[in-house]
This record gives sequence, structure tokens and C-alpha cells, in this order.
Amino acid sequence: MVKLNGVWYRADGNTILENIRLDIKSGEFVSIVGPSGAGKSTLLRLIHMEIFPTRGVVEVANYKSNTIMEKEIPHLRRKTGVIFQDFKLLEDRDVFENVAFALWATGVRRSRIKKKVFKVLAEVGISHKRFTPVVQLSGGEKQRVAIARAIVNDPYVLLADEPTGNLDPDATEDIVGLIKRINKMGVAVLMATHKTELVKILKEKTVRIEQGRIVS
Amino acid sequence: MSLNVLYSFNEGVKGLKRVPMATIITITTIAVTQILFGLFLFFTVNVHYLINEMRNKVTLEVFIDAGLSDKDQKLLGEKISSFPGVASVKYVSKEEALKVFSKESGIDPLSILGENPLPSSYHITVTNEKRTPDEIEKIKQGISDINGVDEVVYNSTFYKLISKYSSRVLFADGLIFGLVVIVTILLVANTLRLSILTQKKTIEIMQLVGASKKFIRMPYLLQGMFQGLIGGVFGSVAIIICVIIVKIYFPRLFTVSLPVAAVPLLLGMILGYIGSSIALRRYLAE
Repeated sequence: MVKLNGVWYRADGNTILENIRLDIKSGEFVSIVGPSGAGKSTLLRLIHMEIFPTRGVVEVANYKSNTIMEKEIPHLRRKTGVIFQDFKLLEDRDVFENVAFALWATGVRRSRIKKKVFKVLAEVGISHKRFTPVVQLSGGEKQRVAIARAIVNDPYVLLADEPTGNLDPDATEDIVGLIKRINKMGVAVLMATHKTELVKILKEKTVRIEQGRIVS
Repeated sequence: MSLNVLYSFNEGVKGLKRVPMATIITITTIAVTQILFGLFLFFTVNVHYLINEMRNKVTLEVFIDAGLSDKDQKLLGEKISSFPGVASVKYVSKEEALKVFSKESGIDPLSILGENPLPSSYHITVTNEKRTPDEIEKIKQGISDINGVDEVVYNSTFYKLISKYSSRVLFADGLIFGLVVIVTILLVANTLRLSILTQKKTIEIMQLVGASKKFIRMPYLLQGMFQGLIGGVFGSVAIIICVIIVKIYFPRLFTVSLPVAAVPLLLGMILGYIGSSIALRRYLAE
């Protein structure tokens, strides 16, 4: 599913990640923990192929970082849902448009888009606010919209970069519960967080990164 | 219409409302440049028109030998018509020449001399490609050598002045016009770049969720075209207002055909497309 084989990443003369070896199977939940600046987000960006390894190979499904063509990257990203601490929603659009956008981009038919968006909004528990502009939503609600957008294209894997970083404890619990539910539906999850207490509650496979190296 | 085209069109229109301030600034800038361009286009068309008018007014007068019969005068007219470089020939009889002379000078030669001293003549104009001082001089010499021609005259000093200054005026006009076009392109491209910069975050998010470059690009290109079109309308209106004013106040001096008014409209659209395309290429490449 997702495989990192001896991956190194250097930027501006600094080594950000060093010899990372990771194998995430289909349907698996893996938490990546470590302090800020450890390289967690860089690891997710490598899997999302926003950046490419200096050495080693990242494999996601049939795509390999050393052979993937530029025009194939959008296809890969549709199958690797991603959520962020700052949500990265289109602030000038409503909930429906934010999620539907990911389907428009793949050329799904209009009638199917409506059906699929309503279904996924119901799954993440935000369908009652489907026509609300996202700027009017709370942090937890925004993250639900981001999750809906990330899973609407039935991804192989969900990459969550500090998904609860901007949320209060109640919203954090809700969002983690939602991510676990999505994982139970068969989507592999790779969640980067610096909150060790969260990882303890999750009781899932954990990878600890410090100064760009996997330490446990 | 494919779904993506429909989506792009809708998004292009909605995009204008989503960033109203950037849209207003972009349209205003395009409108100002297109008005400037439109007015200068109007000016240029008229400069060309006036210079051509002046050149057209230069006619050669071919005076006919007094002893030539009507039949020979007609034959002479045919010979002149077929002379290379002659565009049109108009016969002016002695009587007509007298009328014109009396009207223009206020003198009646008949009452002073008792007879009409003016010869009959042919007034000729030359073809466009022969409207240079050297070519006109050659035509003058050639026609002077035809039997039955007494003398060929034209205002050579006036014509040489027109030729000398018109080429300078046209060169200066072309230079300024070129500068106006370059300034228009740079201003529009830069304004659209800034307009798209306000939507950089949106473009990044689109890329993150797997939108292809083509899918991202299309609504912005259409948006740029819409902005260019709306800005271009102002340029076109400026030309139409000039046409109306000129037709009312200078009916004999100026002319411009109304289709010229469509130029800023089309240019606005094309610049909108190119400007957005350049700006997007930069952001999508990052």
C-alpha cells in the first residue's frame, strides 16, 4: 500500500529525513509521533508526492516516486486523501462546494456528485450544514469537511497531518473517533501528531520520529 | 458541452464575485488601458486617413493643345487613361475651367479679354503605389511627351512636403502606438498576475486534492477573458463616443469605421487570456 524504502530527504543543506523504512498495509492505522520539526509533515508530503526523496523510493499503490510522471500526480492525490491542521478549505465556498470540488476535478458526473457528496457529508456528520459557507464553521466542523473531501474519492490511504492541532479536547475526541471509523471502513490511515496522549488512547501501531530518524 | 467546460464556465463567472476587490481593480486597469488604446487607435486611424486624403487631393492637370479637335481630344484622353500609374481621368472643358476660375478668383476673364483664355484639360489621379514624388515626376514627364499635350502641372512643392512629413508622422505614430500596445500588455498581464496571486492559496488546495493543471487553469483563463472583455467594453465605448463627436463636429475632416470600435473588446479578451495564462504558468509550475 504505502512503502518507504531507505528514504532520505535533504533541503537547504539540512537532512530532514534519514533512511526511513516504513511499510503500511491496506486498512492499517499508523500514528507517527515526534516533536515539532522531527520530520513528520515532511514524511506525509513525500507520500503525497508534493516533494520527492533525495535518496530512496516512496511507493503508494502502483505509483513510485522515482518513476511517476507529472501528469500522474493528480491521479495519485485523488487516491491519497489528506487533511491538515489548518484544514486547507476553499474559504470562499460552502461545505458542499468544498467536497464536490474534489469530484469535479476527477470528471464525475453532476448527478453522481450530488449523491456522493450528500452521502459522505452524512458519514462525517456535517450534512445539516451542507450549504453553509465554511468560514462560518467551527474548527471541528471544518475538519469534518476536510475529512469528507479527503475520503470522497475512496482513497487507499488517509494522510492526517496534525488533524487535531487546532481543536479543543471535545472536538479532538470527535475527529479522532471519526478517523478511526473511516479506518474501520478499510481506509489505511497515517496520522502525524505531536500529542503523545492521543496516541496512547488510540492504541494503534506507532512510529516515533526524532530528528529525522525513526527511533521506535 | 463537457462537464469540465460547464464547471470552468460557472467557476469563471463565480470567481469574479469571490474576489470582488481584485476583480474591480483588474477590470478598472484593463478599462483604462483599453480606453487609452482605443483613443490612440482612433487617432492613428484618422492620421492615416488624413494623410491619404491629402495625397489623394494631389492631381495632375494635363493641358490640351488649343488646336486639337474634339475627336483628337477624346483619343488623347484614352491614351492618358492607359498610361501606367494613372488611376482616374476627368475631362474639364474650357467652359468648366472658366467657371471654376471665375468662382475661385472672383475675376471674369471674358469681360476683360473678350474671350476664354483657359485651355481644356484632363485632371488625373495616380494609383496608390505611384504616389511618391519620383513616380509622379516620371508620370508627369511621360504624359508631357504625348502628342497633343501642351503642359502638365501639379503642386510638386506641396506634394513633396506631404510625402516628407507624412512618413515622419506615420513613423512617430507607429512608435507611440507600439509603446501603447506594450504598456497595455504589461499592465494587463501584471494586474491579472496580482489578481491570481490573491487566489494562490485556492490553487494550492486544488493541487492538493488532485486537480489536474488543465482543470485548475481553465476557470482562471475564462475569468481573465471575462475581465478583459468587460474592460474592453470601456475602450470600445470610448471609440464610439469619439466617432459620434467627430461625426457631429468634424463631418468632413475625420472618419473611422465602427468595426474599429470592436478592437479594444477583442484585444481585452485576448490580453485577459494571455495575462492569466502567464500568471498561472508561474504558480502552477511552483
